[in-house]
Amino acid sequence: MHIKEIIKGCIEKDAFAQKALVQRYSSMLFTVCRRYVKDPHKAKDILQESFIAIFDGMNSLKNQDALEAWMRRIVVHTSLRSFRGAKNKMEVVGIENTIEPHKAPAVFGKLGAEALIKLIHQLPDGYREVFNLYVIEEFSHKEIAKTLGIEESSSRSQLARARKILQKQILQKEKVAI
Amino acid sequence: MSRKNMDDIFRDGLKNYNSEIDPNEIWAGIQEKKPNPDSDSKKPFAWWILGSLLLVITATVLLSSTANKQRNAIETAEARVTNMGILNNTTSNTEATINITDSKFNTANSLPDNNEHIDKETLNTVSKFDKKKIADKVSLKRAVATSISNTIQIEHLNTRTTNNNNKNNLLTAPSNTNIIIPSVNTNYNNTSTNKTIKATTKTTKSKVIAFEFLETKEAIPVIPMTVDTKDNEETDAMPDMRIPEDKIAEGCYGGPAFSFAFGAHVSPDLVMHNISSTNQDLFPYIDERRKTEKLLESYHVGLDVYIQHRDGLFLRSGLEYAQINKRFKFDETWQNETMDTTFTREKRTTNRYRMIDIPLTVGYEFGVYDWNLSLYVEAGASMNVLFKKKGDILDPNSPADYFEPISITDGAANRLDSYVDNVGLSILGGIGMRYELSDGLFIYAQPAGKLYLNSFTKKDNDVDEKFSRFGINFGAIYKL
Repeated sequence: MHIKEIIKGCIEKDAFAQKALVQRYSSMLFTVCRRYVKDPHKAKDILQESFIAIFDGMNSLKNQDALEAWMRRIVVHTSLRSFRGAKNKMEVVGIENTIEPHKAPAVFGKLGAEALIKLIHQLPDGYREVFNLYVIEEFSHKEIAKTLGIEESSSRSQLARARKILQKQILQKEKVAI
Repeated sequence: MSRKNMDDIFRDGLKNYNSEIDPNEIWAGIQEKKPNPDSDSKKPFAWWILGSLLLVITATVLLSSTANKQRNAIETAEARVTNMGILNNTTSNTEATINITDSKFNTANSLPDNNEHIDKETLNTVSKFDKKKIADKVSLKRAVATSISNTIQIEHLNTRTTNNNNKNNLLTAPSNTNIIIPSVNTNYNNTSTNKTIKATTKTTKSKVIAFEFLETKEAIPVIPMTVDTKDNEETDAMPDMRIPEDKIAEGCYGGPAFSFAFGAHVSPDLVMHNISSTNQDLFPYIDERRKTEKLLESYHVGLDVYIQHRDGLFLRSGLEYAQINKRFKFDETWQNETMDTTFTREKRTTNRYRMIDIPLTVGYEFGVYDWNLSLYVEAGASMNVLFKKKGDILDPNSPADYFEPISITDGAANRLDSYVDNVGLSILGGIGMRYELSDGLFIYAQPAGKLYLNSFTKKDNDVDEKFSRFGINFGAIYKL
């Protein structure tokens, strides 16, 4: 089924087209969820909610070529929203207290995607959000500040801290590898 | 390791990575989570459709039933007309007998000299007809004649009686009363002749008020005359009581072309509240709005003024007050730093959206039958002149991961100022059934809907909100 047919079908609320969309993009979008959410079950829930939002909003998609980016954005927002209730404020946690020792010996440069996701999961929620938004989604600090309701300076500092944590993790891994 | 390198490794490693997952499992979960299409917004619409159908079916059954009765009445009337000769041979035992003859006053030159007197008398009769204040127990509201040749066929008689003994009378008139239908401008065979109907009955204290010619829709007042005759004999001594042509032209003898009526109605409403946005960043917000808001019982009331043409066409305007209620439910969380604990409590608010509209509709009322039922349709536009809000909703300017509530109450200090004060145009329509309780007083039920064309939010707002409502108007009308 061609992607344009899938989009058209989704706009018309055709279940067959919706299912085709899910089959085609589940894996890619699930990765997005997993970067934000540690619990895989919760990540699946978020992915399902994201697809429902995607189906609802499909008729507002103006540029069909940007479908993937559009869906990723919805998944990101749905993932961020999932933190509601779990926390009210961005966390500020001391670096030393948050890092668990990494167990898998590997060289950072050769780490696979799953290992990278595990590394991201070790970041505190707030850092993880900022890191994901800045590095993977390529948001600016201004956009991150607006999205998360924080100051731009806070976004910068949290990104710096996230990097520091990851760097420390990587160094540990390298030591183990040597 | 430079920042750049590290960022690139994460970006390149994850951006296009596909995690292992079973899409069928995700699809099954979506199916479970999908809102039931029959619930919430579509459910009220389904109920409205069902209610409307029931009403239309009921109306159809009732009207077809009355149509059968009419056919019987027509047969009876025709039979009586056919047996015109009976009149001279019958006694006063005949309940109601009609005799139709060519009038001897068949020229325009034979206007009586005492026109003024006749006019006055006629006007009195017309006045009584218009006001439907027929003093006596038995009244004939309308008779419809399909032709005005030598024989008038009575197609339809609409009678009302409070006297059981006279319920089946097609035409009643005081004993020994001659009734003259004056000349009218009709196209029937280019004739302009007068027709005389003689009616006799044992029933006393009843009056024939008017006849209406079906094709011209002209209601003609019938002037009751008591003549000094015995044994139903015709008399040649009847005065010419034709209505002057100029008066006919003015329509004053057909009853006024337009009449006024006032009414009031109330309706429980089923409301649809559509929240949408073209800004994809707001989809999570809209999704959350839908989850935190639930429609409650709503209603509207209205005062109406009608201008109705005797053909059935009418205009309606007035003032309408509507109130839409919604429940806003929100889990409020806050952190107690001392206890290192997060508390959650449910916040509930009843949101009220109040609006005042001025409707202007045009409608058409279909025939009145002997059960005093009529069916009508109407459609038009309505102008919203006032929109008031009270309550809370989620703040679209909240951080994406935690939407906070904000007041929308008019005049509140920290409120979300994103709503308009008046919404503008809406379209409305409905189909209804009227029942005449007593002379001039009607009650009705009317499934009707209203769709607001504009968003209730300001133009520069990314979130559009539209309301539409469906209900069944229950009301009363008093025709002057």
